[in-house]
Amino acid sequence: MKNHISYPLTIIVLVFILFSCSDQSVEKKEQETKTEAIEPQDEVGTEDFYFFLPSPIQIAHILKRSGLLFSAEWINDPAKYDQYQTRTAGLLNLGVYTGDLAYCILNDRTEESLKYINSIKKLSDKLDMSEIYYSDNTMTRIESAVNNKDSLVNFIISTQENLSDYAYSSNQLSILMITFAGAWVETVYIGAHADNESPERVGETLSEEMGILKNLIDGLESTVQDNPEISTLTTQLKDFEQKMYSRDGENKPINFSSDQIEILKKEIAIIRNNITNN
Amino acid sequence: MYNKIIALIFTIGILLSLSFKSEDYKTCNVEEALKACKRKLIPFSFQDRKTITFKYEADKQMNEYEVQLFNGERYRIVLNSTYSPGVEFEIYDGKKTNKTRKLLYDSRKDKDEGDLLIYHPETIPYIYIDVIIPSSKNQNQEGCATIMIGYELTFVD
Repeated sequence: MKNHISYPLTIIVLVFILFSCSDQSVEKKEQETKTEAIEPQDEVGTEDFYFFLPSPIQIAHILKRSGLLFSAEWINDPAKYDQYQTRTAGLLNLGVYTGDLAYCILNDRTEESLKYINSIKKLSDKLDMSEIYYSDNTMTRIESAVNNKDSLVNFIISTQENLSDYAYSSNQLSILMITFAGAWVETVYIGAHADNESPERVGETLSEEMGILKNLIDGLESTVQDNPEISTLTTQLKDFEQKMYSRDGENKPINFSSDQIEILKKEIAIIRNNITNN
Repeated sequence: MYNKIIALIFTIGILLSLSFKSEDYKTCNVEEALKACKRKLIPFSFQDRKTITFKYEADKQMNEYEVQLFNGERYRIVLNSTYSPGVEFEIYDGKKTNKTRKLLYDSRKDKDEGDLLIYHPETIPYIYIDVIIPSSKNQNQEGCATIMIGYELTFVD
């Protein structure tokens, strides 16, 4: 009887000692490797891109805060949603409309905002993505609170989150990048062309917005393959980036001169019109 | 003989329970990890998120993520290692290739705060989040770490 008890007890004690020693050795090894340089080849394999995207309403807000005024002249026609025939053109213009919607909301243009929400709904239906933009009775909530800026802002924030969930869970990060590309191009286009009550701040603000461009190009290239429309867009964006280099030696935004702003206006208009007139 | 078999089964049971307890691995539940991040993000608004899924290896691994921060905006970063025991987060003002970069945040200093950590960045225009996966004897054990970024809504009443 004595042997029957001591046998498992001995093994338990031995196992416990073994695991205690093992944990200590791993801990020691971690401490030792802590100071070692980690080489790039140690990166975890993933098809993801290595940066975080800003929100479309946030990039519109940066421009609004710099004194950007509202002008309907520079936004895309909400009635054009039906002319976008390819999936890529649809996704790009879904982003464009999101940029326009953010611009309208931040300028308290409720009537225009609702037109863009309607166009986004119809375009997302065409793209079989309506559940992203109209989950949780979003449309009902929007329509019942037409004068409520909070509801409109929440629409953009929640759809951004839904889009992100959809893209990651279905492994379609290209959707995230293409729609963001449309929103970014539209916002920079508006920011460069619309009147500004503080024109002296335009150069610095646009330069800050340009800081996203390199990641945008990388993101499109890493998530979209064999797509002639996106290849054309990335070529244009690369050319744009070269012409509008926006960083100083410390990687901080420079203040664009008026000549540089003129070049930017011309270049971004070409890219933007290629998207909206597709 | 019967007692010996019982004793052996008992021993194997103890052995197995000890081996699981020593590393405290949990099966990845990305949905739950994101929900936890979202709760911790409030009152900031959702901007973007990343889920890093990986397998522990004999060597230490690392991923680096760039975040552009705009002047005058306020941000919150939520770091979740619930499903990735041992994973640490370091945040710098420069890329890993920049030898003079400054460490802004180290999750090891918040060890007592649990697996769900918060950082409010103040450095502009870029910060870099390094996700460091430790070496492990339990190779092929899967883990997932989640990062969520939010910004403060300053433009609504």
